[in-house]
Amino acid sequence: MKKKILSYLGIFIVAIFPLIAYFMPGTKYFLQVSIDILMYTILALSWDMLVRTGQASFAIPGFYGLGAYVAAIFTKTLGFPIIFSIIIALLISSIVAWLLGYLTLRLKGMYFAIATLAFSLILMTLVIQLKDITHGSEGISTITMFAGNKYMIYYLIFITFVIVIGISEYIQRSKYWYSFTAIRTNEQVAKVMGINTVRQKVVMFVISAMIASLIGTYETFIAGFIEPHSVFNLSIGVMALAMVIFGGIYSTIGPIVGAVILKIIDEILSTTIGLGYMIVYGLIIVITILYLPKGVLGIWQKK
Amino acid sequence: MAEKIILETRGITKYFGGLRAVYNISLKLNEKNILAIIGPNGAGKTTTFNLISGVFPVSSGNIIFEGKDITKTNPAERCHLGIGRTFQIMQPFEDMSVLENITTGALFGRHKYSLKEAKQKSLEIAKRFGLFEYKDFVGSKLPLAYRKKLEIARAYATSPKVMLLDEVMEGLNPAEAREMIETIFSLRDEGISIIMIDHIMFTIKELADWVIVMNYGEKLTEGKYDDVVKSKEVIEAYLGKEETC
Ligand SMILES: Nc1ncnc2c1ncn2[C@@H]1O[C@H](COP(=O)(O)OP(=O)(O)OP(=O)(O)O)[C@@H](O)[C@H]1O
Ligand SMILES: [Mg+2]
Repeated sequence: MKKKILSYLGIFIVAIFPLIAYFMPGTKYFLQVSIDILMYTILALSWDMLVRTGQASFAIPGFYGLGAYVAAIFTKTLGFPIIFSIIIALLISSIVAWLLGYLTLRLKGMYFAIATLAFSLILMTLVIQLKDITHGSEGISTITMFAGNKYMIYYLIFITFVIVIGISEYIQRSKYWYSFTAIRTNEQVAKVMGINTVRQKVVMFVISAMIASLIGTYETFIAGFIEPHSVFNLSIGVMALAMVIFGGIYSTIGPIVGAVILKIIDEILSTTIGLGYMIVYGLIIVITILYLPKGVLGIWQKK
Repeated sequence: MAEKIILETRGITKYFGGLRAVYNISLKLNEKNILAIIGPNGAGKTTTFNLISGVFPVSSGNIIFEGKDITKTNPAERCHLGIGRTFQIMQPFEDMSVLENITTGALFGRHKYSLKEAKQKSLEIAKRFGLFEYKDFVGSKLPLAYRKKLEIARAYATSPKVMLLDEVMEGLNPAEAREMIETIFSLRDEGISIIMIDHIMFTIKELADWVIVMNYGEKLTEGKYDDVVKSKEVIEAYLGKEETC
């Protein structure tokens, strides 16, 4: 009960945040940071949902970049409206994810991580090489959404955030919690118990890929310009993973808490100590992994 | 009295690389019967279960269930048809309570119960197999006898017609073994056909309608318990040949 009230309160605060920010000095900065935080929260959740089936993926940068590039090319080169190009990006990503999923989800642990990492790198290389379509490493500029109005952008991402929380909580409360946990802890036994493990993993992989791709399309229409090294950036994948581990894996609240805290730390460190911030950031993550296997939420749950 | 065969294997064989783990095993399980497979360590008993439940594909041979050839089906499909099994090395799902382990079987087994029904069923099943007091325990924290019960309860939750029990007696004290024998009889009385692997002779004597003896992956002999234990091959397989090296 208390949990429920707390989570509604949390969502309410996120919902009215722009109004609070409106009265703060440097509104634009606060909004931009909170948009970033929300985007990472969604990415972290998408990574967590997949890892509940035991598959730790590095495909997030690949699908994020794929979404970003499809969105840019379809609006800029082909003159499609934003909404259509987003739909096309989602369609393409889901097809790619089906294929990639069937090819790689039989692999376990390290092998799956490496295969999906390769996918992200191959896509980036392709985008850099196919200059006629993508303009190569120069990048590609296109239109922005809502004429750059940060409030509108914030609420679009907020709605997405609520939907993704809905998907995540549905998994936690439905029969999929049982099948995912079973697959993660013992895939062979899960199969013998009647669970179609490959299909369940592929479906989750596709959903997770579509979410990453959607956030990629948002990135395109927020910035109005993308280039391969920023949208296929592996650190996007590492951040999502770190946020999940930091906050608390296999849950809805863990990735959210992890994303909020780490993104704020990230912001403070990068503006105060500049380049060296990655070291401090890395240390925080190493310390959590060593001493808090259940993430920061683990401390709280113990009490 | 002509009995109905529910499960049959025809010459199933399994190679692991060069190792011939199971060779040309044919067996017939009659409906509502208890068939025991015995044999020394490494004889290929568990591998035979792995072939029947679909954990490994066969190298050759066929598996027939209720008259249909199921050789090419995957383990989940076999579960949905009604083949349930326990594992010799007990493997409760970590991160799940006893009750949740059982619920998983009910959710994805032959009847694919809804979550509400499956939760209800799992409570009944936990009671039936004497697991109720441990229902909120994590599987791996259970005492051995209860982990054995959980293996059976979880397989039972998938509503099997045939159950493959891999050494469910192993490590039990006499009182627990007694209870397990009664449990197996109760499953049989409910209409479930059973294949059990065991080393303990008195339980086989009491339970088994038919006994198959395996050695080095092959079927050494089969028959009624009393005949099988007297056969020369079986005595040799267990006690070793009278040879001086
Ligand atoms: N996955 C596997 N890969 C390779 N070899 C295997 C595999 N599983 C079993 N074997 C080998 O097959 C042979 C038969 O093993 P199996 O486990 O079926 O014996 P068992 O009769 O169940 O023995 P026990 O009484 O010890 O349980 C053994 O030599 C074993 O090492
Ligand atoms: Mg064995």
